[in-house]
Amino acid sequence: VVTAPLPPSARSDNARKLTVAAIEGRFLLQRCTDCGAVQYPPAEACHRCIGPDLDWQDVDRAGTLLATTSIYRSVEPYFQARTPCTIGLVRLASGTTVMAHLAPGCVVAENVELSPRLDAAGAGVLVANVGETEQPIRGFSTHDSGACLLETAEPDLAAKTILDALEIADFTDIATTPGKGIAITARHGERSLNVLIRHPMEADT
Amino acid sequence: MLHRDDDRISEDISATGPDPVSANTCRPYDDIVVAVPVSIPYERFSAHPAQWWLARALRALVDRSGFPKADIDGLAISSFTMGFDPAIALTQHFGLSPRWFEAIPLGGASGVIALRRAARAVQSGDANIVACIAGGTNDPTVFRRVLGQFSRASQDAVYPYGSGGANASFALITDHYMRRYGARREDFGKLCVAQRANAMLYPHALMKAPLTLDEYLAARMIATPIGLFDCVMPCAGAEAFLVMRAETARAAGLPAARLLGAIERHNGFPDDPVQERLGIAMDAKTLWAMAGTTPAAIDFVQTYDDYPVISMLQFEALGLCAPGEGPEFVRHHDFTIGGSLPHNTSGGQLSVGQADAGGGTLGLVEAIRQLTGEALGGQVEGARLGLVSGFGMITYDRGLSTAAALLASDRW
Repeated sequence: VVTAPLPPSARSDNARKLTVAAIEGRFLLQRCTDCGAVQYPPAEACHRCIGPDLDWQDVDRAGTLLATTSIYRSVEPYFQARTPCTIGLVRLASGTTVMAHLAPGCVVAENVELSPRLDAAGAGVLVANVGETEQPIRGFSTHDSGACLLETAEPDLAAKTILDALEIADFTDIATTPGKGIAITARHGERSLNVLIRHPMEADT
Repeated sequence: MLHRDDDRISEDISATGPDPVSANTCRPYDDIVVAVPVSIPYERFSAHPAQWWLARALRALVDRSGFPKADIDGLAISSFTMGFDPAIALTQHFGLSPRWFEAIPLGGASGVIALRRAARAVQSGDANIVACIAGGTNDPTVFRRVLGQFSRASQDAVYPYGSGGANASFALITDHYMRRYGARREDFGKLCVAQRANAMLYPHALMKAPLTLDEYLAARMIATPIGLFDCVMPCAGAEAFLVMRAETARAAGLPAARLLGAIERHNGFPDDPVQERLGIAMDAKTLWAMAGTTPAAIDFVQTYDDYPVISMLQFEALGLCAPGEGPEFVRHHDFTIGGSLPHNTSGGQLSVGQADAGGGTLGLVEAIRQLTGEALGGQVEGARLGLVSGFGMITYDRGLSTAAALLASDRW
């Protein structure tokens, strides 16, 4: 079976939360329930007070772009077909530095807005944009009030990444509907999620 | 050779970190020496596993020192490419029964830190002769796996962002440093070009062609602002040396360099938004105080040059110039063998190659050769004092491990 290359989707269990955050359209980062420190990448203890109790909180999407690079040489075939890949370091008000894909228009030393998005593998990644509008950039989905469309060359593999993330994040009543794309619905308390994953060639209905 | 009256190298290290720790908590190394510098010539790719390269280094240490294998009672190993073998498996593999063992998975800081650990072990009598060996193998599939699984933070929060590897991470650090401190590509190029000139004299350098500044500037971009000649070439190979007491070396007739001081610092300055200071800046005063000298006295410096910006940060952290003055410092010095500050005198990793974790020992082995008059390439005339520093382990957005040592010849 020949498959199209996807972005690397291996993640720790904690980091899979970013996939759920992308589907929910929220910018969630890990926060210490003892001292309130926000941290990234997700870890097993608070870097400030070493507290073990960490939850996920909505944090301010605004940050300052500190540095950028455009990658011309990647070791992953998916990115090799998409060079240059422009990424940057963004400083958040919480004092956390995050690495993010940059949408066009991001300028160093100026403000950007962060959001988690699904990449073509169905994994959550951080994307920095400029302004209020979510700019769809190649290879990434947009979210729309709880419903999420992901177009990817490998819908089955992306669906597996998303299902793994939902299970780890304790979402229940997970159901998948094959057919015109793969529709995933899931529920966690009051929250429900709907994701449609399809090949770009599949017609929209 | 560096002239002591050269006003461009600081005798004032007040710009570096806090006051030195007291002599009570950081004892001198007394008569600990390093000897028997070994470099197993590098190959771009190798079908041999890391263990084969490390074994060759150990064999060379035994052959060249004349010590029976059983006399080597301490072993320190640094390698990322041993597969699923834990480092301790090498003792059985090599038929050694050491009474002291360290695995030091600290990449570019591993050479100096192995020396630091081994020196204290010998000083305290826990070992008499410690073999410090670093290196490994290189094939493209191994390299990709090491990149993707280097750390959890890298897997989760770096590798999915373009998978540019270390090039991309250091491109971000370089981009920030250029904007903040006015470094130009020409400044980084000057370091790379000087190292290549040094490498032309060193027989084991993988890079055999001269490099001009124009060629450096015209090279294709790898991850802006980093171009081809800012990047090391991963390869297979090994570096090694022995740590012992001065009297042990003398009795065996081995030329040796004395350890005057050594420091290490991990995760220094964690609140800097982008890495622009290295942890050893917190300890530089301690280093110079242990050696009882100042930066103006050094005859050469060997930095960990995975990218030229990191060499500049090491100059600053160790007090050769003030923080942020790296670019100006580079513009005022000649870093070739006969220059005002010989730097990475074998060519460094940028020209010799990066043999896995051996890259963190290349400069230390070269420093021993320079101080014992055994240079394989260009010899810094009358070198008496050398500074060696290490840097490594970028598990998320910055290198965590830093270390430095001062070594002296018997004429010091």
